[in-house]
Amino acid sequence: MDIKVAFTRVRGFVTEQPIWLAILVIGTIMSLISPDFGQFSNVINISNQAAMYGILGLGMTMVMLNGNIDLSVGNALGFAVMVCIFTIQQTGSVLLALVLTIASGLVLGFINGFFVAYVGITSFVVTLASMIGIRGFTFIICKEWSIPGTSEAFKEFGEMVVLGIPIHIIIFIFLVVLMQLILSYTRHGRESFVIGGNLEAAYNAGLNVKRHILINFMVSGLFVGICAILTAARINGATPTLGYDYQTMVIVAIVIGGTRLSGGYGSMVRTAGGALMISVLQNSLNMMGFQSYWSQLVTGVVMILVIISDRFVNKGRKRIITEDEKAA
Amino acid sequence: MEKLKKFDFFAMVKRNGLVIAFIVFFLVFSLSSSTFLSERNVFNVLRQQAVVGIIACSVTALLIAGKFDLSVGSILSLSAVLVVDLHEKIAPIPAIIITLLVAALIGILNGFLVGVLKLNAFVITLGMLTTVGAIPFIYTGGHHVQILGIDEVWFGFLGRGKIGPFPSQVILFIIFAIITSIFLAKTVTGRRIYAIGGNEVTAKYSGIQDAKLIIYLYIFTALSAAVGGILLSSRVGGAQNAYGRGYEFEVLAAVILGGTSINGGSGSIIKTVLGVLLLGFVNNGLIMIGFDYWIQWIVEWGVIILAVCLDILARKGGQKVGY
Repeated sequence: MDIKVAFTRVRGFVTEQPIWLAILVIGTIMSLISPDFGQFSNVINISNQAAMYGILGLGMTMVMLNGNIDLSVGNALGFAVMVCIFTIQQTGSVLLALVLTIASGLVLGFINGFFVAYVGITSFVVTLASMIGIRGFTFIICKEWSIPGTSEAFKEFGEMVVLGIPIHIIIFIFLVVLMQLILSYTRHGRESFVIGGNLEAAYNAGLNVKRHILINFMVSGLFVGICAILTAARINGATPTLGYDYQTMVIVAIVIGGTRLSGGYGSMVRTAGGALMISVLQNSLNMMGFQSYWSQLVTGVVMILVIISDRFVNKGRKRIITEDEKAA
Repeated sequence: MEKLKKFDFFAMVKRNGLVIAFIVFFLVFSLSSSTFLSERNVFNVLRQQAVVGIIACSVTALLIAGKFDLSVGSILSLSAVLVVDLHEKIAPIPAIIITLLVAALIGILNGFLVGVLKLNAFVITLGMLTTVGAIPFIYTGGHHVQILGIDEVWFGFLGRGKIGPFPSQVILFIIFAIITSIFLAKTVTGRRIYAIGGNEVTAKYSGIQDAKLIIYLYIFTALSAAVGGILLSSRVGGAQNAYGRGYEFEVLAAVILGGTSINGGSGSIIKTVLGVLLLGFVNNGLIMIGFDYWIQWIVEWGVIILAVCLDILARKGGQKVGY
């Protein structure tokens, strides 16, 4: 009986989130082709890559559940990393650097969220503009030079390994679980879904729509800050062009995971799956000796196929959102 | 009487904010820098903005229909690489024709996915941006391609030549803008584009074949991106694999600055041209009066947000905005 229940649950999970099955299938095939693929070190390597896009993706998923988008995450990451390394270089205080990095993420998130929620500008426009502008502030700090990291303690934090697993993978897994719990079991999480599903209805039902949207943009900013600290510690330095194209890959990861851009549908586990999938694809193609641009091609094609299949798989079901086209 | 006059002034500022901003920036820059208004500098800016402008015209038409095209950046990269490589391997005219055909194919694919299958335009074209962006690298194996002796072949004229005082690129931009503008404003098809963007369902019940129109529009944006790629590669005499990186957002910034709504149904080419020029002259002017080039990005941020805020203010009297 227990096995039956478990089986039904697993089947439900797989039909709901086929991304994990796909990862498993690709993983199995790859392990047969190349024995190196299944090695512990390579699995860590894959998770490493997934963690970076994944952490940014977790924050952006909150924004997307509202039916908004945050294009500025990539350049905001570059800025926050720069703030982190620059503060350490100037003051030598790691603690101050951590505080300022998180703060810079939150402030950028607040600016985006304020214009979207309280001024009423489309999120695409607001974050497109800040994507361009934030880059300018990064350059003001560094004057187009790279800055090396100067703190040994901070560097050691980036290289920290617990039970054979690098620290940022552990943080990533922790954040996925935490955010999924927040999403499923808190009022803010539930109401974020409602807003994405039908904004007018949410407003009429008395939800504080503006505050939720603002908070979600700040959550995205917070995750930019967290990701920035981990990135800064890992590469132990900052370059002005860091994070330029990240927003594209983050959106791709979220979409492959199955979260809808139109809002009201998605989850953190899906985003984690999407990030892992991209990383598995990149790693597999790499293992088979393809150059990195091939994995870019495959990622793009997979993304388009996911959207097409999403449309046909869900055609039979009753769709909550009919105006898919008006997403952005 | 006094009050009425004042009211009119503010209403005018709200409605024509962009034109006024343009004039103010222009005055400030020409007073602070002696070379800003020189013929050479003005044409330099126009030439720099011509490619963005050409793509912006077609993207405006698509935005009016309520659809996005983010793939233009990658199409530009691909076209630049393709036309340069084929120019050296075959001949200039077939090279241009093949490049345009390839771009049109990508446009058809975009149009099919968005128009016929009704998939989300933003995600689809983002996927195409990623996919198509990889093709130039695969095609060249990551190498840089170039045309030897660009000044001796007529292909170089496209990006480097001048007709009278006007650079050829600028003339092409003007022609592009005029044709698109007349098309959108005066033809039946043009008005249908507004209808689709305004209300897709109503448009459909009015007998407008939206799928077909959207495919045409995607072909148009892809072709204009290809023209942009051809012009850029001709200007430089070569092409890198990621030439068009970021162009999709630069173009959208100019279009949005002009005041075309990204929700579709409204906008015009004249606004877009103004947006493109304002961005170009502000960026150039800031450098002319001695700012570092990255300051322009911050100013761009402020200008876009301000322009959209003004736009919202101007509309607030007429219609309810959002929630």
